[in-house]
Amino acid sequence: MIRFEHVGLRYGIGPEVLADISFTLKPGSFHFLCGPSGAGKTSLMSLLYLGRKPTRGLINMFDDDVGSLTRTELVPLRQQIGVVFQDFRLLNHLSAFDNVALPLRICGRPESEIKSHVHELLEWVGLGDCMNRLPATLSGGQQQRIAVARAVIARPRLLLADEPTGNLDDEIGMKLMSLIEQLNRMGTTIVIATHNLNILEQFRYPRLVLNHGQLRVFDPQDETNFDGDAA
Amino acid sequence: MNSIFIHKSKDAHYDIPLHQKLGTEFLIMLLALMTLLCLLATSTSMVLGKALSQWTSGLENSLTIEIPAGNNAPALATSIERALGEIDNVKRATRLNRDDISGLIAPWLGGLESQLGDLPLPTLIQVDLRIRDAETIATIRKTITNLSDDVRIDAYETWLTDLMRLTTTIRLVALALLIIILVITAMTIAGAVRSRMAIHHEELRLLHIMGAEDRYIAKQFRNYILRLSLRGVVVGSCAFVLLLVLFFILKPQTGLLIPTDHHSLASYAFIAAVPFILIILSFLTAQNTVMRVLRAMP
Repeated sequence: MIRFEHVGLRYGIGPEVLADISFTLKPGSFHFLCGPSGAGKTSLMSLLYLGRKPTRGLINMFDDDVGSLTRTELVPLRQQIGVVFQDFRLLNHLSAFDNVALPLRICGRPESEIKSHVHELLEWVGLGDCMNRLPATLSGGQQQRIAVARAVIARPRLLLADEPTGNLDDEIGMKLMSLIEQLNRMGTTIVIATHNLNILEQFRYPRLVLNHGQLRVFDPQDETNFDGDAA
Repeated sequence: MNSIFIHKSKDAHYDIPLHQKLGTEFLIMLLALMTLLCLLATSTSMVLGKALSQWTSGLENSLTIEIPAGNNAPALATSIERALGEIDNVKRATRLNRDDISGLIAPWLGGLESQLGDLPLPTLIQVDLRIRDAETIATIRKTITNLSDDVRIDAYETWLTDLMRLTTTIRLVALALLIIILVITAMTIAGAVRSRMAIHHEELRLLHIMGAEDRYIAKQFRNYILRLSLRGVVVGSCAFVLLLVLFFILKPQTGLLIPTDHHSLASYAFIAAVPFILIILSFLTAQNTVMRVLRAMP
């Protein structure tokens, strides 16, 4: 479903921040992306959400070779990817409701459907009474939950989350992880970049470990497997 | 809850915060000014064209033949009339009677009309042509010169040609002005759109990552510019109407040139179309600019 082959990325004429990355994510898989600060996690995420093109190598996503697609052809692929950014990237002039509704509006869904879906999801993440509030008036944790809700509202085939539980207390963090697991059980492929050891200990999914631009795969279920296919 | 913490639903149609006042609101005043200038240029051209047409009305297709006073003048006039009747393009040749000629020169005599009987008045023949062309006038000149060298032909060429040239020049200047105004408007709108796109670069990137199509984003900018230009065009059109009312009020005192005759429906339609042309231009410029900038994004 998602295949990286010898992918490299550099910014301008600088050194490669990602070097010779190869891995495969099968449909419905769940992975954590780990590694120290500056290891290239954000760069790898940007390649995964098609925000950048690699400087070398091949990326195959949902059976399409990303490098050979035009800008217009990338649009439907992007619509199948949900992203939770570390800095949330909420639109501050829009209400919580409209922020969450955005991916559905982009896909052209009818307003009645948007209304019922958004209400249901915001209730589920505990923000049912904050629908008309602007992000600036919400706490960091509430904003993060809106960011997660926005990423999952359109039932993406791939969910990418950069530290999705970073600003949440343990209880809400676990609740969100349960939501993400639920999505995973419904077939969504999940990649979560995190430093949170509690989460890593509790949810023992395979880990993509980045260090100095190199990727290794570690499966906590099978500690002998510390390289190769990530799926 | 204080309203500043609550989302204002009237702005819901902008995913990009285009409603925020970040400097592009000057487009309202720009469009108002450009609308006023366009309407003034168009209507001035129309009014001058109409005035010139009134001045030259009836003269374009006519000329006057002047036979000096003398004993053989009536016979010569008859010969000339007969000769003119044989020229194809001559519609009619009418000899003016003494009362008509007296009426023409009376203003120059100031109260001495009674003395006219003593003056040796020339014989005048008014010639109406079907179509005014150089060939016909040359034929008439040749025919008349063959009959007499003393006869003078006034075809009003000099001042009529100058008036025609003036009319054409004024119309061309008005058209050039209109085109310049439209080009400046389009360039300014394109600049304003590019600047807003630069300001909202992060939001645009986010929408792209979410899978927004270029036309989805372009629609938002297009609607924003449409709203601004609609306001500007309404203000400019109102200013034009006020100016027009002012002209009509001041006309008796100042003698401003405003022909009172009715203009053609096409003229009124063209003036009415000017605001719509500006709105369509703004709309298309915004759409085109956004699409071009977005195409340069990854």
